[in-house]
Amino acid sequence: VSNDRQRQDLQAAFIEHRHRLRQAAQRIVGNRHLAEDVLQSAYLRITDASVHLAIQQPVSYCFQVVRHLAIDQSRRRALEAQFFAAEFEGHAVPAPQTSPERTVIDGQLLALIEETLARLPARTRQAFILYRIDGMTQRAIAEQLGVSPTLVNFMIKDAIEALKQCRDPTES
Amino acid sequence: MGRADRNDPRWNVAWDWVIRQHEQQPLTESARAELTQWLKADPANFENYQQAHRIWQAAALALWLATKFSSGPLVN
Repeated sequence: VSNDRQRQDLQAAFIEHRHRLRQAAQRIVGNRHLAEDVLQSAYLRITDASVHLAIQQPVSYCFQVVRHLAIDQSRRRALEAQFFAAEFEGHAVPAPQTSPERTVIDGQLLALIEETLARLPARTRQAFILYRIDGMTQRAIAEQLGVSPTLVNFMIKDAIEALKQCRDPTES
Repeated sequence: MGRADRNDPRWNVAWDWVIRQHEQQPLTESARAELTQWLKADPANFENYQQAHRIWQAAALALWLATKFSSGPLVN
């Protein structure tokens, strides 16, 4: 079967069974909106994979991809929730109106920040991970990376400066 | 979301507080009082602080997810 033919078969199977695929996703992720996100990702994944894989049963393959992505998304959301619970424990922000619910991070912001951090030099990113995630002091980071504390200070400042550029001008 | 004005003093102060909170956990009583006073002084202060805090949280989440899932633009 040619790649083009296989792609067409998969697309046809996906479209024909899209309602059942969405139901399968919804059972795992819990709501229609998230199920739609899964379906979109699955469609892209299926179209892409059809170039590389010989797929014997297009319908089964579509369900397999949807289930895999739905489970992945559920795990990710559970881990996010776990992260926020830990992050806010004992780190109360001293402002009466602020609560975890108000610190909602949408997907667009997360994607922008991922891109921003990915553009940093690898060593700067490594220093920033040790600072932000591991909570290490700049002196300890310098020792671990074998560089001067001054250089670490510059790298951390560069990372923070990059994050400051992720501001949404419509918000403030 | 786009480029921010590097010379926006309010935005810079908001970030100074976010970083200070990261480095000094917990803040001293006097620092907390100073921050609270600044937040209450102007609603724009609070908005800037909240947005800076959200970006700071999202940065941690992005790095954390990258290490958990070993995928995405942060893994190379």
